[in-house]
Amino acid sequence: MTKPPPITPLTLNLAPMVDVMMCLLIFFMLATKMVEQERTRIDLPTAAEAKEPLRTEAGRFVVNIRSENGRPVYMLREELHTLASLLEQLHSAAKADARMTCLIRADKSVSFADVEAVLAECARSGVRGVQFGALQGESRG
Amino acid sequence: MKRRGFPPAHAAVPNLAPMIDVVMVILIFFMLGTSFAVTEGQLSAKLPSQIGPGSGSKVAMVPTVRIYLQADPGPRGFRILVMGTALTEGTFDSLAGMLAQKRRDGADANSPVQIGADPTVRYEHVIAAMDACTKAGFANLQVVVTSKGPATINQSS
Repeated sequence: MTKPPPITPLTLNLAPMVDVMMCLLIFFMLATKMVEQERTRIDLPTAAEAKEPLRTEAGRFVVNIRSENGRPVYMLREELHTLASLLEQLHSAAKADARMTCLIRADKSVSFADVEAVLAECARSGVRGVQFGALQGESRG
Repeated sequence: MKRRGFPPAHAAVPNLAPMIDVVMVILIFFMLGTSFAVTEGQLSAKLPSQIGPGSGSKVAMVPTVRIYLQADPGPRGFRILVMGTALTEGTFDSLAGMLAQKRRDGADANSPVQIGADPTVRYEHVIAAMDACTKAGFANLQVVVTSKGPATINQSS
């Protein structure tokens, strides 16, 4: 009589699962960091009709305007700028790319004059397409 | 030969279950955090060429509706003027209703709607006015800027 083959104990190999989870974790950690760098924390106004931004849109100049103690603080990504230097950068970017559009992300508490300064430079530099950042939701008032 | 006085050596198998628990929690946290960041949207508008190169020559300036937010000392801080006349109710819901009525009366969705505001009006109210126009079905929004705009702004850090 032949002896049956020895039964190997059933053990779950968790190493590949840990590998995959670690990869996912690192991906999300890096992605979150990138989102923070691109989009400064700003108390945006809400708008029910705000559309998802087009991912294919190229040549977009993003201006962040934050309100600090009632005064506007202008930023390109995380970098602080005076209004004059920001407008200068906007002007040279518009000269380099004729089809450039401008995304303005401003605190809801800033006055229209603070945004109008950027809009006026856009008009002067020939930038006609302007987008305003807003959170999707019902606007107040 | 069996050694006495020593416990039997255990096989070195690390217990991965607590680590997986922690990694799962962190993973879920980052997944949810990333999805929160995507809820930001945009309202698109065009700048009429009143200032800048080729002033007024390229864009036909025949707006169907002209909306202006005028600074007001009242509790709201602004008044909504449509074609120069103040809305009696003065809310953005009433503005959206009035614009929707214009659309029902045959106004073209692509006809330009001009939005302007006094410099002291809060930016969120301008966005709310744009939102009301988009809600009513107008797609061609134009933000009016005055040429004096930057000159009146103080430099800030």
